Amino acid sequence: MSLNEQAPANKRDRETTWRRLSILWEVPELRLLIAILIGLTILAFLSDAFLTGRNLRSVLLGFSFVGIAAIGQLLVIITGRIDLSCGSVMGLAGMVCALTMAAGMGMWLAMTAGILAGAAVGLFNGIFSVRFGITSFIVTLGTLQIARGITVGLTEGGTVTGFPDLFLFLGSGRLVGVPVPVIILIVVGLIVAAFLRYTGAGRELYAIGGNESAARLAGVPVKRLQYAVFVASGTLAGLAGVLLTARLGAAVSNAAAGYELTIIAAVVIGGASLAGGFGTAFGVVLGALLIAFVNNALVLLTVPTYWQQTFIGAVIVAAALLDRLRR
Amino acid sequence: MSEGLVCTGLAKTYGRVAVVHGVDLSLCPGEIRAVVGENGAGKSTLMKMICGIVEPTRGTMVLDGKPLVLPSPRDASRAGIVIVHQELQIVPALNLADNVMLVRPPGIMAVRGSRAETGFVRSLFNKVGLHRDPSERASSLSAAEAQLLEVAKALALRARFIVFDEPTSALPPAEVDRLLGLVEALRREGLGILYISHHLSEIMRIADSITILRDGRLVGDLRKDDTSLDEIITRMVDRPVSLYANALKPRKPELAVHAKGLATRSVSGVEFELHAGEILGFAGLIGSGMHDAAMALVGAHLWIAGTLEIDGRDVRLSSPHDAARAGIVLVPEERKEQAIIPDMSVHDNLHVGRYGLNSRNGILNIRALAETTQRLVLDFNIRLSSASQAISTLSGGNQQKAVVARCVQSNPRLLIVSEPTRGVDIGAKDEIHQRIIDLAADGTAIIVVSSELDEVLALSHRVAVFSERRMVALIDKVEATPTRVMELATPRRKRDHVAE
Amino acid sequence: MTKTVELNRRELIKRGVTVAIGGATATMFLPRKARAQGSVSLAFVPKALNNPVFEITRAGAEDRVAELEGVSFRWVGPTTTDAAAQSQIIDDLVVQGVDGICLSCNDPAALLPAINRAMNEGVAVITWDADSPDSQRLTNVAIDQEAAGAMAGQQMAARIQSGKVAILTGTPGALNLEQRRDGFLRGIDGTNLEVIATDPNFDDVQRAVEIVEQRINATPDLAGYFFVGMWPFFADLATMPQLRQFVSDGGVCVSLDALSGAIAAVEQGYCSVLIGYSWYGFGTSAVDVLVDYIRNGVEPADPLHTDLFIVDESNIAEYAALDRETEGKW
Repeated sequence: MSLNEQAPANKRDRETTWRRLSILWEVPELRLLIAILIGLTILAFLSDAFLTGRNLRSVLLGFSFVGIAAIGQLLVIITGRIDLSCGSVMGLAGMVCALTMAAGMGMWLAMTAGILAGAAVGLFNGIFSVRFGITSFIVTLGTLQIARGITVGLTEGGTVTGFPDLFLFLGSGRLVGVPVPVIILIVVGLIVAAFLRYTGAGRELYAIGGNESAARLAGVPVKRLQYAVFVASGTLAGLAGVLLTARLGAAVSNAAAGYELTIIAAVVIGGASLAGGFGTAFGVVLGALLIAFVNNALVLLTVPTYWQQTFIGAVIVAAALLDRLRR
Repeated sequence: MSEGLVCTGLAKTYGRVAVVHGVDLSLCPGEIRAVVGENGAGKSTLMKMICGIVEPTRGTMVLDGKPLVLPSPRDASRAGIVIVHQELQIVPALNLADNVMLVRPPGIMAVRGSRAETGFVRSLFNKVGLHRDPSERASSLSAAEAQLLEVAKALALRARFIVFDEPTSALPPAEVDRLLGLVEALRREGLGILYISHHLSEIMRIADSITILRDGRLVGDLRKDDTSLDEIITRMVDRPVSLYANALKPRKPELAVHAKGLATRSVSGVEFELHAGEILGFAGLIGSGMHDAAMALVGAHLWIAGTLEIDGRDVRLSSPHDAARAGIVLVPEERKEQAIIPDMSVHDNLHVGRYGLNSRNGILNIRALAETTQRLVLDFNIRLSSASQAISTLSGGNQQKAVVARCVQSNPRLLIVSEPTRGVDIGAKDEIHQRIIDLAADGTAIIVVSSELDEVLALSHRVAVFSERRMVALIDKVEATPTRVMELATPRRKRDHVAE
Repeated sequence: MTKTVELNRRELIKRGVTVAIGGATATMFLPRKARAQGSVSLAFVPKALNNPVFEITRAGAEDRVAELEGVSFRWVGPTTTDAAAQSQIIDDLVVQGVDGICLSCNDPAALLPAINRAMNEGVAVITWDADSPDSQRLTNVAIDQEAAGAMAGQQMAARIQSGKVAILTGTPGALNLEQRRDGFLRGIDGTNLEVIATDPNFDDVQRAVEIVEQRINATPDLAGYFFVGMWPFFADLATMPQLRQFVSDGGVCVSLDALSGAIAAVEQGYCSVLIGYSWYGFGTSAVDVLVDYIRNGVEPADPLHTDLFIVDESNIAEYAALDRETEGKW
């Protein structure tokens, strides 16, 4: 498998080192990490408050919910599909969890119920996308509305509050100085990353995204895996939604409204292609982190109110463009 | 002749590959000349040169005694040479009159929707026998009617020579008669017709003269009355039996595969017994259903009838995944669309669908995977600089070797190979052929599906011939001469007979 | 015999359906005056169904309707803040023949055509909370947004005269929020208070909580914080320790709206002053205005401003009690 050339030793060493370095540059996640670090350095110069523990914890806490849902979304996007319902699922799961607790059930049962609600929506998405062959964009656009409608309908627009302290701790408490949701994000990220790299099923997701017919003819159980990724996306969005409710100490009926755009942006910035076949969990986490730092910058640098949305949008487009240029 | 088209020494080379080697062809007004040949014989390239779609590398064309140069198809139609394509070029959203006027017929400056235009279009329709109103939407046309529309377009362009490219492939028998009638009527009007078809019976019915191509060369220029169907077939394909015949080992006694009456929506009558170590060839023309049969056997198409037994066990296949579990794998026909994951590494392409061979409880054994890759790369002589490079960067031949390597990894019971050496260089071609023979010698049952007659006949113990979406014959190697296979593969209309 | 029975049943069903459809269609064309004299049908259309503050207005309206005779009430709205969907709902209500509509506009310009169409059809239309001032609506039942902002500014100025102030708002460009902010700036005019930032949370509670946290962290010498709306107080107060610290260190937090969460905030030291108004009162006032106009032709004052009141440490106990007794519906 190695090159069969005879080059003088020194030249070959220099070439190999250079090639190794340039290969490193090819890895989109590393480029993104470097870009983020540069941005952070600039931000630290511009604002004293940036590098404080409290500020950083606030940023990390905020990004963890989007991050967890985005990791689920990554699985769907790798296979070349999309799940627009993730924001609504977050809201629905949080509401289901809250109502279950309000009805007197235990906290863990309630959280499970919320997460299962997310999984159920995922299964629904899977059935209509895979079994009935409707394009996932349309199916999940529909479930986006349905899930949100259910969330609003369950409480007629109201808010549910009054949760036990342990629940609130899961949302904003800290273990060894790190917010609990961030720890959960790290664990989920590691599990998914390992799955994608070290299991056959994980690698076959990339195959489905890269060329679905070829994967199918090669014997990959395409339908089964497609169902699985939708359920996974729904489940992780459900987990994110439950944690979001814990963070706020309240289940609001418009919780996570519009988050799907941020979630998908995080996945794309992190190096995944909407056409499928690419993307890593690490990249997604970086993408979500980038967006969270941009939001933080908006506050710290007192960016004028009316330009904030434009600013966020511009950063997302720029990041996606940079990635596109590489391909 | 003073009038008419005379082509001398037309040749076309792409890079270093010569597709057409110096072909002569002449066409008089009022003549129907058929052009026949196997797939890859050079018919379509020759037509492209005559219609200005492609520039000849060598050779001359003379029209009515004056030299003819065709830089573009528009020049060809201005010269009066129009082609009716196999894939119809109508715009469904527009109405029929608009579709005709799209070609911008010379000498007509009619306003859209005017009576002059409608009258013009209607007269064309009368000539070709299309009984439709010009204001109707083109989306409502049947395939046969759409074809008549194409002829109308050619007449609108005041064509003197019309080229028909496989016109009857998509037509039901009744419409075929209508089209043949129209072609004969055009001849009476004094047009010259080039008629490309593999329906030899039709050719015997309407052609005046026949040009036969083989491997890009002219091997026959005959008057219909001077020849017979058999002679045409022989000239098209006859050649000595090939080199591999002696390398084939005899098959093993165990019955590996038994297909009974297998049918899908695209093919029917798939029936054979295949023993371990035996190579069964599927032969036929393009569209004969042989590739569909391969897809059926691997579970990629839904069965509507029939059964399949592997080692005596009945198997129901609803997906290629099921097939893989039953020990059936496929090297697909279209490499880029169906076989490789282009952006993935060669390493992963070698393992996709069978990671289970190198994993435990779903977790991959990275070292075993790498070792397997190394072994396969060496074994199959896949030329690359690193197994982690994207498979799309490999040459066609190496890609194909990788696909075969992947399929063979799991020691399948039945290996189906579709177009094993399409787009593959000579060296790799030999390697792949040898590999197939070796696999058979080791006991794998193999089906080779190929539109290259040479390949199928060389590699097979027996040959299943497909025609018009049915398996029509299963013959032994001895009987399977190119001529015989082509006879069986050539579509026949019910009323015609083979013997002339 | 069976065949005849089946045929009859099929016929019956067919006829039944035809009559039903025909009847329903016919009622659509009934002129409004054909209804029984004195019966009034009202429909309230909030910005979105997912916002709890509107439910309080609904409670006020429904309670008032229950007290009156011959008045029916419908509550219908888009699931999320969607001007186009709301506009469509107005049109649909007109077709269905309601007598009066009260809506809180997602966007003043986008709802204008639908409001005018309804008025032209003879439907009485008023707005509450968010207005469409250039339309033909009869009146706007709301607080004087600008005055509320000014009151907030004055309350802030009464407590601190110099220092940095941050503002939290919802969606930039929302008319009522802009008016409140303008009022606030007028209210602190003449002091040495400096507004250093106006952060939008786009009506997302999570973002609101995050912004408050980060703004306070970023500005150690922040003296005052003005919440144009009480979004952070929809979350559990325990999730905002920085805000509590800010107030207990002498910072002044002024917020619009005195719903349960905000009242708890003042009670527990997360907020200094509330500029309150009754969402419940909007409902009752709006019903009164509409019924008066439809039955008696009384033209309402335009606009109709409801009362503002101040809630701070001096009177928090009474308000807290009131809020608990009425479960927020006051």
